[in-house]
Amino acid sequence: MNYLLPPRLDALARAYALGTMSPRASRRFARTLTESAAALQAVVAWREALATLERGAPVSMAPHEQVWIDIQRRLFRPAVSARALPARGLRRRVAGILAGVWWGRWPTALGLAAGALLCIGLVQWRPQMLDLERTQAGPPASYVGVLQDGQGRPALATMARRHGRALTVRLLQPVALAPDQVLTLWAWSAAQPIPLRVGSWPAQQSADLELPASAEALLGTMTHLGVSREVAGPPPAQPTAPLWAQGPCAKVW
Amino acid sequence: MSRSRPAPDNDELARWIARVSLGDRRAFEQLYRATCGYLLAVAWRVLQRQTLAEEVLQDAFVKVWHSASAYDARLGVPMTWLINIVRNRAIDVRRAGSTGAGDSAPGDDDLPEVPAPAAAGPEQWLDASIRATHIQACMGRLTSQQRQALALTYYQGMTHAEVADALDAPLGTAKAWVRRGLVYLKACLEAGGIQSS
Repeated sequence: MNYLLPPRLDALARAYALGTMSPRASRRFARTLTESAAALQAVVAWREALATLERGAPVSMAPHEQVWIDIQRRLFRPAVSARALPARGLRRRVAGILAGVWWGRWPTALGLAAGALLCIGLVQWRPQMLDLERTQAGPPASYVGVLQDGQGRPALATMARRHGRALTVRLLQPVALAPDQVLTLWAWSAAQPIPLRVGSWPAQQSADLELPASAEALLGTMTHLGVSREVAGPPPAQPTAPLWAQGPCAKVW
Repeated sequence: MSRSRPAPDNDELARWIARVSLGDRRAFEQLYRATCGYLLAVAWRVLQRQTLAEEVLQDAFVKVWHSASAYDARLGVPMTWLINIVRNRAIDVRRAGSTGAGDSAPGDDDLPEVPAPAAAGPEQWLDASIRATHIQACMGRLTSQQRQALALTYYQGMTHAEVADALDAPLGTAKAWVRRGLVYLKACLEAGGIQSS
């Protein structure tokens, strides 16, 4: 049968898009779609027409959260189960240290150590939070930071793949910003004490900062990250305000 | 169930799908959060049971993760692509015969989950869609049976035979009603210069 004669093609595309074709005919026609642009276009045209029937249909239902959990389990379970179990003890240690910092019983200097531990804890315990988890393997080589505010509380998490050109930032607590202000991320080290501007973003909970070079090139020699509130517009060469949060820049690989 | 939530923005969806194709799990979650309520309703209309609809939603998003790279914006807007994945999967489940959707009462475990659609049903959804698309006059030429047949095949994924049973009509007549409804729909949309997005 020649499916591609126009009247026949339109009828087949209509039945295929609507779903009234038999399973066998549907599979056969699906193969035709991979070989014929005309057939594909005919199906697309019908699908677009049918999509207008969504305009008056009910659109608001709330799936149980378990659906999303099950999707993740089906797609990413190997990476989750392999990494989650050994991290339990570490999570307890991190939680204990953070509790100490929170109540002021630990010296401020230990805040940095807690930050580093929290980095590791996040990578092992909630890799998806930093987008580190992959389907098949463990976390990719990345630069990770968990920055703390002046009271030693986790304020911001950062992650950039070692050879990537983007750095993800995620606020761990609210931050007050004036309407004309942005947050700016800086990096420095003892060998390079003048902070290097990494990027700026408005006070969204998370953002992807485009890097001018790979994370390896920018952060490879850096040991610390910090965030300041800056006036939006041309970025300053150095921080013009006190750092709101800071912490170590860790290599995870 | 209500229409309070607008359809997600297609440009945003296209960006997320592109990032999902690169393995970006955060974009995948954003895509899910933005569309899950909408797509669950698509599956629920076909299956009439929330538990089954949620299983379909789960299957569909697993497929989205694996096939995001196959999405081509030239071949339709993202929401249409997503609706098709969900609707096709829901129709497969319905026709597999294991659901009993539309044939029997839902199980006890479904009772608290099924939203009350009040008096609304496929015909009301079709009418509302026609009004929203401003093609009432054109579509007004369809008979009541033609409209019913179109509504049952699209919203509930019925086969021609099921439509024939539901409307107590010969199979050939049911097929003709569905065909006429669809042909009118497409012609009316084209006459009005209306696109799905």
